[in-house]
Amino acid sequence: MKSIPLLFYCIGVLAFTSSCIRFASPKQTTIKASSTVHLEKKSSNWLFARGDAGMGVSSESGLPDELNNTLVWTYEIQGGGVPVVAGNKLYQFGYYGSGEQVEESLTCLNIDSGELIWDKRRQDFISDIVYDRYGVGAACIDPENGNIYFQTSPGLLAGFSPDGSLLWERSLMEEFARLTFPNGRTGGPFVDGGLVILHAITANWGTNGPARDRFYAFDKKTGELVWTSTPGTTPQDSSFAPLVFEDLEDGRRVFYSGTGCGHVVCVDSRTGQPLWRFKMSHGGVNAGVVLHQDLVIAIHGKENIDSSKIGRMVGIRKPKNLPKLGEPIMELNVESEAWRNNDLESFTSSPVLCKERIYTSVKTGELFCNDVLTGKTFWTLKLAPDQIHAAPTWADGKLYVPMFDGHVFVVQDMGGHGEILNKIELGHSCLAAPAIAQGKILIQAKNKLYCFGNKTDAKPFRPKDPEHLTRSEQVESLQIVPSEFNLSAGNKMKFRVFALDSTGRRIKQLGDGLSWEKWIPPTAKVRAELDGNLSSSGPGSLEALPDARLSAGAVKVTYEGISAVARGRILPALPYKEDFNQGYILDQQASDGISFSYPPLPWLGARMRWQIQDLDGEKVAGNTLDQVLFQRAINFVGSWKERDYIVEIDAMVDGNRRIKSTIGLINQRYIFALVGNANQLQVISNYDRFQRSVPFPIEANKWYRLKTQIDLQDDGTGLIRAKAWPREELEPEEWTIEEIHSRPHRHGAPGIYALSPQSKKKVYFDNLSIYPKP
Amino acid sequence: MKLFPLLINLLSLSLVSSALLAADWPGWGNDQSRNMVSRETGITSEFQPGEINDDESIDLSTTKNIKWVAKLGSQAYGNVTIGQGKVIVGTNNESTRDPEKKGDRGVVMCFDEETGDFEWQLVIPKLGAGKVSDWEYIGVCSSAAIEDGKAYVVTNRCEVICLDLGGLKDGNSGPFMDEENYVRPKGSLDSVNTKIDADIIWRYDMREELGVFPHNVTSSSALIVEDRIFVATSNGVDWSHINIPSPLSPSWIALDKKTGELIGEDGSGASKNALHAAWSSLTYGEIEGQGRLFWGGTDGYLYAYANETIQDEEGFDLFLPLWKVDCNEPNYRVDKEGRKIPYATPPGPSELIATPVLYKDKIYCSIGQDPEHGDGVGRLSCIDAKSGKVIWKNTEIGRTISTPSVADGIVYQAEYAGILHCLDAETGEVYWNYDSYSRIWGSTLLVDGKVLLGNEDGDLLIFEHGKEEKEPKVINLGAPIYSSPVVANQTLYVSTQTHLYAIGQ
Repeated sequence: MKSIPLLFYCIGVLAFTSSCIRFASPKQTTIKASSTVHLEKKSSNWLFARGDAGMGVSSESGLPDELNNTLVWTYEIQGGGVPVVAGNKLYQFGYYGSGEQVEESLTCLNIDSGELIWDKRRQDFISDIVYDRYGVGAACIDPENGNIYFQTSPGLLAGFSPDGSLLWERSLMEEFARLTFPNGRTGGPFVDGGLVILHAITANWGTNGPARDRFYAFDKKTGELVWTSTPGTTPQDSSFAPLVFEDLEDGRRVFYSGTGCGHVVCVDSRTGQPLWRFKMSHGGVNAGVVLHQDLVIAIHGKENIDSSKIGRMVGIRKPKNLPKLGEPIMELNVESEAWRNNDLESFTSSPVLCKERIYTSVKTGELFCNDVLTGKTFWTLKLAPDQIHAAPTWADGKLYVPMFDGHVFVVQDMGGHGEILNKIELGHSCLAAPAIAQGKILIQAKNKLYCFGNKTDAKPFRPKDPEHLTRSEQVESLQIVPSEFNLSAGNKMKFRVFALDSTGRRIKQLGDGLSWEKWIPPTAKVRAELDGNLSSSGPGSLEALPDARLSAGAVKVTYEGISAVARGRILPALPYKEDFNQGYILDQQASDGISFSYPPLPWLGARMRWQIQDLDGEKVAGNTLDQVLFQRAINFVGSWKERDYIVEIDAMVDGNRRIKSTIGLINQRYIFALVGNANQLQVISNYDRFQRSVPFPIEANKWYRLKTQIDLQDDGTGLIRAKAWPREELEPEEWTIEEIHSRPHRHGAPGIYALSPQSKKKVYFDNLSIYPKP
Repeated sequence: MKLFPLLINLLSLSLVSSALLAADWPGWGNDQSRNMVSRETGITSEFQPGEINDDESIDLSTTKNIKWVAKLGSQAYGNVTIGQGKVIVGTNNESTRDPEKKGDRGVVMCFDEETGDFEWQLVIPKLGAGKVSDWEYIGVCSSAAIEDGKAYVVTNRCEVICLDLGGLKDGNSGPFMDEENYVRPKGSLDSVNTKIDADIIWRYDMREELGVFPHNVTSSSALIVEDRIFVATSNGVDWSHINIPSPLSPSWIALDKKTGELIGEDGSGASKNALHAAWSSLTYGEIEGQGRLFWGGTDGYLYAYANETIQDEEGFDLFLPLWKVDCNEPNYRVDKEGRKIPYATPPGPSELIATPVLYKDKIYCSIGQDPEHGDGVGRLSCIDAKSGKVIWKNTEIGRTISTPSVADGIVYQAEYAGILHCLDAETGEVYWNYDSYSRIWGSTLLVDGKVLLGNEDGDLLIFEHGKEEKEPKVINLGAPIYSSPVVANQTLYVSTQTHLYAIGQ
C-alpha cells in the first residue's frame, strides 16, 4: 500500500474549510443510530469511562446538534476525566485547588442541577505527578447497586455507596508498590461482576518484584485482592488503557486492554489468567480497544515493531481457541492481523465504534473515520492542531469531539466526509471524552465540568439484577481470597476458598476438605516462610502472634488434588529494628565485585535497589548502581495504616564537591532526605504539594543519624519534624527542621528513600529503627 | 543596444554569483550568529517528495526535483548539517543499518553530499535511565558541527564526541580507540563494524565528569569558536520537574576541540534555578570588537559572557556573565498577589530552548517549553547585545522552541501553536501572522526570497519573504517535520521524522 498523505490532507482541508457551516446534502447518506448500532441495550446511564459497552457510544436520543445554547450548568472541578452517571447522580474524579491546596476528589453531583451532593477528597503523597496532572481517569459504577469505585493519582483505591459511605479503601502504592509517573495518566477501575479490576505498573516483592503492567482484581464488597495477573513484559510506559469486557461463547468472560509494554492483552476476568497478547508497539498502548465480531481493534501512537512509521491501527483477529486453565499465554503475531492502517497515530485517545465505522481523533488533531472490516479510511477531518487524551463519543447520529485546544465539535458522518455541525470553545484543554447520559452531554475541560443538553429530569437508576450464571459442578480450579495480604502482628485473618468451574465461575465456597501448608515456590531465590500460624485444614486462617517478625511467603491450599496459592507479608508490631547483623550471608556477587545478601524480602521493590554488604567491617545496606533505571529507591517496609511513629536511620552518601547522592526515609507519607548536592535536609510529599528544606552541610562518606516524627495537632495541622546529626555525636535537643503542614497526612507506611543521580555515587544506611512515639 | 550580449552577460553574472554564494551549512544555524538565513539563490521550491513504497523507501519515479532521499529512523529532531562533502543528521535506530545493532539507540548518520550514499553511523547505546534522562526512541537531537575533517556532536548519553568525517573505514584515529566497547550496550555482544561505524577521536562524558543530570534528552548543538567548542549540558530537573538533582553541575561547558579537555564552565549558577533543562545552544559574535558568548538560560534569562575564564577559589574555571536579562515578563513569574506562578501552566514562566540569534548587535530570542507542556504565554525579545537592555518585546507570541530568522529588517518567529509571525526587526511591529493549524517544532529558513518552515502535519510551508502576507505554498512530505530546513551548495535539505530529502535540480 502506498501512502497518500497528501490526499488525506486535502480531504481534511476541504472538510475543515466548511467548519461551522452546515451544508448537509439531502442526497448524502448520513450515519444514523439504528438497531444495528453497537449497543448492548438502551441505557440512560454512563457507568464506565467508555460507556456501558465500552465502545464510546451512547443510546441517548434527542441530543442537540449545537451546544452553544444548550448549556445546562457548569461545576468548578478541575481535571481530565470522564464523569460517570447513574440515575440522577453524576460522579466525577477530579481535583480542587492549586499548589499545596490540591485535593483529588470523587465528587457526586445532581445531574439535573449540577448541585453538589457530596465529595470525598484525598491528597497526593510521594507521587511523581507533575504540573497538576490530576484527575486524569474515571470512576466506575456497579450496575448492580450503584456503588462507585475510583483510584487517586498516588494509588488510593476506594469504593463508596451512592450516599457517600466508604465501603473500603486500599493504598496500592504502599501495599503493592504501584508506581506513579509524571504524565498523570491515572485511569481508573472497572467493576465487573463481583470484582473491581484495574491495572498499573507495580514493582512489588518476590516474583512480582520486576516492574510490570499488572492487573489486579479486588472483591467489590470487601476490597480483598482476588487475583493478580501479569500478561505482559517489561513496560516502556505507564498505561491507563480502559478495559473492555466480553462474554465468550464458551461461557468464559474476558477483558481486553492495552498495556505499558506495548501489547494488547486478553485476560480471563474471573481468574486473571492471561490468555493472549499481541505486541503492537515498542511503547505503551493507552487507547482503549473496540470489538467487532471476531476483531479486536486497537490503536497506538508509538514505534511499531516492524516499521519506522509511528502509530498504527490494527484489526486483531481473536484466536478461536484460548488457553485452558494452567496453559501458558498465547503470543499472537502478524498472522493474527486482519488489517492494519499506518496512517493513524493515537497514543491515548480511544476509538469509537458505531455501525461498522471507527472514529478516532489522532495526534495531529484530525478525526478519522475507518471501516471496521478493512481498516480503510473513509474520510478525515482536521479539527485542531493536535490531540492528546480526549476521545469522541457517538450518540444520536453524531459525534461529540472535544479537543486538546479546548474546542468541542459536533460532527456528522456524511458517508464520504465528516461535516462539522457545531463548534464551541471552552477556553481550556479537554482531556476526556464526553459522557452522554440522561439527555445530557457532559464534558470535562481542564478547569470545569460542563453539562449541555436537555433540561429534563433524569430517570431513576434501576440496578441490574446480579447475573445468575449456569455453571458446571465440576471443580476445575480454586481461588483463594485474599490472594495477597498484609497481616499485622497480633492479628488473625481468614481465607475464603472458592471452587471454580472451567469458565472461572464460582461453584461454591469451600470449607471442609481443605488442607493448608506454607509454601515456597521451587524457583524462589529467597527461600522464605511467613512467621504465622496457619491452620492445617478447614476454611483456613493465618495468625500472626504479637511478636511475629517481618516475613513474607506463601500459603497453599489443596482440595481434592487441586491447589491454589496465596502470598503475603507479616508486618511486625513496632518497634521494628534492622541492623543487618543477623541472618545476612554475603554469598551473592554483584557486577562491581561486591559480595552481598539480598535485602529483606517483605520490603517492597527493594531487591534490585539494595544489597546488604560489608562496609568498614559493618554490615550495611548499600544501593545498587549498575542500572541507571534504579537510581532512585522508594521502598515501603511497613503497614500503610501505621501512625504516630518515629523512624530513624544511620545514613551516609558517597561523593565529592560536585556530585553527591541523597539518602532518607519515609514517615507517614513524608519523605525526609539528606540531599547531598543541595546540602539540605528536605521534607517532601510530592514536590508541588509540600516541600520544605533547611540548609544542612553534608559531607561525603560520613555517617549521620536521621530521626523523623509527625505530630498531628489539635488545630488539625501537622508538625513535621526531623533532626540530623553526625552519628558519633550525641543526639541534639533541637530539631533540624520543624514545619507545619496545614493538612497533614494522618497515617502511612514507613520506608526508605534514596537517589543517586545517574547512579554515580552510592548511599548507605544502617540501624533502621521504627518505634512508637512516646 | 544589442540584447544578446547583455543576456549572456547577465547569465554569466548569475552563474558566478550562484557559485560564489554556494556554501556548506556546517553547523546548527549555519554560523556562530545562529541566524538561519542563507545567501544562496536559485534554490528550487518546486518539488514533489514522491510516494512511499511498502518498504518505506521513496519511489523516486514519483518525485520531482529530488536529488536523493535517505531513510532515517522513526524520529529525527537533529537538524542536518553539511560540510566537506558530508551530510550529517541525528536520528534513532528504527531503520537499522547494521543488523548487529538492533533495538533502541541514538544514531548519527553520515551521507555523501552528492549521491546521498550512506557512509557511516555512530550508534549510541541508550543510557537505560528511562524517560527521565534518555527518552526512548528520541535518538540524537544534536546537530553536528563540522570543521577540518571532524564533526562534533552531543549524544543521547550526554557526551560530547569528536568524530572523524571519514568514519572507521579509513582507519581508527585516536586518542579514543575503544569503539568496540562504545557501541556495545551493557550485556550485549554487539561488535564494531569497521565498514560503517563511526570513528571516535575523543569523547567527553558530561555525566561522568561533571555530574550532569540530563533531563529527558541531551539536546544541544556545538558552537565552534577558534579552538574551543561550547555545548549546553541539558542539566535539569528530575521526575518531579522541580527537584534539581545536580545543582552544582554546569549548564554549559567549553572544551578544547582538539583534545576534548574541559576549558571552563558556565559560572552563572543557572543550574540551581533550572526550570527544566539546559537545552539551548550557544551563540557567538563580536560586539564592539570583543568576542561575546550568548546563552539562553534554563532559568529564563539570556546571558552574555566574554570568551574567557576566571578560576574560582576551588579551582574551577568559570565563564562569568557580563550581564543577564529576564526574557519573561514579571507577571509570568508572580501573580498580582505576589504568588509564584507554577511552571508549565499556561500563564507561567518559561526557559529558552530556541537559540538566541545575533544580528546587527542585537539578540533576538524567544522563550518556550518542552512541547509536552502545551501552549502558554511567551515573548520574543530584541535585546541590545552590548548592554542587555530590552529594545522591544512582543508578548503576543506564545511559547516556542523555534529559533528566529532575521534579515532585511524583518524577523520571522515560528510559534509552537502553529503560527508564523513576521515582525519589523527594529521595532517589533507585527507585519503579519499565519496560522498553519499544526504544531511547529522546527525553525524558519530564509533563502532566495522565501521563508521555509515545517510542521507536525508534515507540511513544508513556503512563504514569500516580505512585509506583505501572502498565502504560502504547501508541500506535504508524508511525515511530521520537527527539524528545520537548511540549504547548502544549491541544495535544500528537509528531514521529516523518517526521511531526509535533498532537493534540487
